[in-house]
Amino acid sequence: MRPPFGSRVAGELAPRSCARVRARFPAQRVLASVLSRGSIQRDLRLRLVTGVLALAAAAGAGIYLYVRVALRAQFDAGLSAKADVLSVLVERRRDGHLEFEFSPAAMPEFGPAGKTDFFEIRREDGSLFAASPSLRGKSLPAPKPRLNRAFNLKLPTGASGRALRLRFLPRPEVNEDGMAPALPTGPSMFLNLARDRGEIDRPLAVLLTALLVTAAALSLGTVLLVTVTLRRGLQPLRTLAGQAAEIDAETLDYRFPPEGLQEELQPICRRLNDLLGRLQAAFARERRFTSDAAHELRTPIAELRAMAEVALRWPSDPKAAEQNARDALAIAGQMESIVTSLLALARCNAGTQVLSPRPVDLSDMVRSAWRPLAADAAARGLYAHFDLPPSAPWQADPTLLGSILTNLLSNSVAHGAPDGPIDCRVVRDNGAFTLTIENANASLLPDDLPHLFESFWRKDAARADGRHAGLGLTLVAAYAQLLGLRLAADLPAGDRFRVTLTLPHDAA
Amino acid sequence: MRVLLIEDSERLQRSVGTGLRNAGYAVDIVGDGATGLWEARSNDYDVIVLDLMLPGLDGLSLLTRLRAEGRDTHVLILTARDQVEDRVLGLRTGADDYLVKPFAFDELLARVQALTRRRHNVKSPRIAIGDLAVDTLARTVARGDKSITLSPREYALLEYLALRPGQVVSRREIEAHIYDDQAEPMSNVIDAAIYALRRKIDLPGRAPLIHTRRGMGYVLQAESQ
Repeated sequence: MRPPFGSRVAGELAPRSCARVRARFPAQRVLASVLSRGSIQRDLRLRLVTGVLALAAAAGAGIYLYVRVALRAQFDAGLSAKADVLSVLVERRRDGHLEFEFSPAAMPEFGPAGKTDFFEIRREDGSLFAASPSLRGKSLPAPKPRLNRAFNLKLPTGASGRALRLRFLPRPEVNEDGMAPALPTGPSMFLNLARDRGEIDRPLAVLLTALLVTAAALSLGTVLLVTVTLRRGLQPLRTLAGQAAEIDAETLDYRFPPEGLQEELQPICRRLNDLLGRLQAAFARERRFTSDAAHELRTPIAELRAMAEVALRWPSDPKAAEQNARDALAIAGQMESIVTSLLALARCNAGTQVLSPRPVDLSDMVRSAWRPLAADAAARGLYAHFDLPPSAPWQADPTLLGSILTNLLSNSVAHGAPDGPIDCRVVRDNGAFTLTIENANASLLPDDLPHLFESFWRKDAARADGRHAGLGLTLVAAYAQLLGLRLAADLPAGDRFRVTLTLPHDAA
Repeated sequence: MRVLLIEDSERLQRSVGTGLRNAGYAVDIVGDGATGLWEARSNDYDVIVLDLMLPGLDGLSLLTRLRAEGRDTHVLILTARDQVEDRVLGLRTGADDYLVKPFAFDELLARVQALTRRRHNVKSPRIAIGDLAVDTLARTVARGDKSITLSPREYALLEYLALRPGQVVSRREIEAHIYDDQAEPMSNVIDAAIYALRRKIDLPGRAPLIHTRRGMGYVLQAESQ
């Protein structure tokens, strides 16, 4: 069986693109769902046909009623004129006798052969005075409608008719001098006049048929017009869907060309292009991160491999072997640190990092984060200068907060200018805390600040000691976001570097 | 043969340095770009092994300056940057070879040897002077059908002379290519080394191959030449 005509556009497009697209990219999914959710064509066709039919019905009814009223008025006027003529034919003689001067030859429609016009004249008491030969002895039904108002009735012939009931005073006989008496007198009479309604019913039936045919033609025309117009109108959408189906991870630089698209589709095109732009950026970021991570692991692997190969090729003295073992251990530690950081970042990004908030003391945490770093700091002539409140109660996951503090402080120890204090200050403000870590700046420029928390970013691309992979501050930023902390870095005096961590009031 | 290794990873310095030395190269090692450039200007190296990401002056800038000064020392870039565009940029900047970390030490050694041979316009790893055969890959020496055992330094001296057969090689050149910064050759150490080498190469009953050009240096060539 053929599918309904109108569903073809949706039927052709949606299932195919849906099935292929579902697992791929949002751009395609959006487009596919737009096209598959109901049928624009079916919807539009239904609405338009209904609307056109309603309009046609209203207009047709108006025309029909107007024509019917006009035809009836004309018909009734004719009826009334004929009634006047007939009433004038009844004459009351001076002796009181009534005379009816009717000639069927003059009015053949009432004659014995007449089938359309009928009359009967009755006296006031209801007795029949005269009847048209066309009645053939039958009588007209005599309802009691108001006088002088036309009404519908069933004619003796069985056809529908329209009748008028007239009450009149017979015309008085004209005097010999040709003058009529001043006023007709005597008992009044009733004239019932009926006429076949065919002359108005037939045109009305023709009109009704014409109107119905017109409405049907309009509906059909609308369906065809909608189908054809939409098929052409939806072509750009089909083109868009086709283009979207071609896009995969390697061609995210594709942009839908807005040229030639209808005005209504321009926003969709723009949104799709924006979406592609965001996807492309996200993919690029992801790729850069992966490539950076791989790159970061290349050097330790190269060190390990070269060391092992040289040691195997030229088995050397125990001293060198010991050095090799120490190097291998250090390399393993370095790779472990990179992998641990990467896993932690992955957990943060995937939202699977578990938080166990507990009451903590910020001052204590800063001091204990510093302790293991003190020796390294002393080697560079650095020492901590604490300005901490005696107690700084707060609520946080101690592991994550500790990791933030350790990373920030070790960053100052490793990258700050040597010889001098590292200022650690905690300021309490209305239950909220602000932690600042400030040290002499060795090499950072204002342009470096935006990159500070990017993964694998280092001021000097070369790793001097291999211990800092450029993930510490990235992790700090990720943890701070998880804990709801605000993190900022600035160069307050050019030669000073400061990190500010704001712990909001909420959980204390 | 003398190699300059410019690499900031101390561990790679140790293993690559040890490996190249064991392979008979005189190796100078520096950990940053600026010192590397200074060394490259000061000595006539056969090959420079250059890392790209260096503290101070980066590898590509170093190479650019070296080439701008007209120095055509063979440079092998040894880096973790593996993208095609990185390699293309490195080679276009003037590198002769490009090796991505992690690498096989054998491959590094083979490439350094190939660059060394190329420097002396020798394509084959086997060099023959008269009935003397020097296999630069296997690092073996034979005179006729008799194989000769040499110390690494003696071999290096012979290989250097063999790579320039028939050319006079000065004492200064020998010193510059056979000894690295770690060794401090005494003034007569070259003469002593040549003497030791002659004793092993110029066997009794065979035509001498190592000749002294008084006031100029030494030349390795067969009698008939």
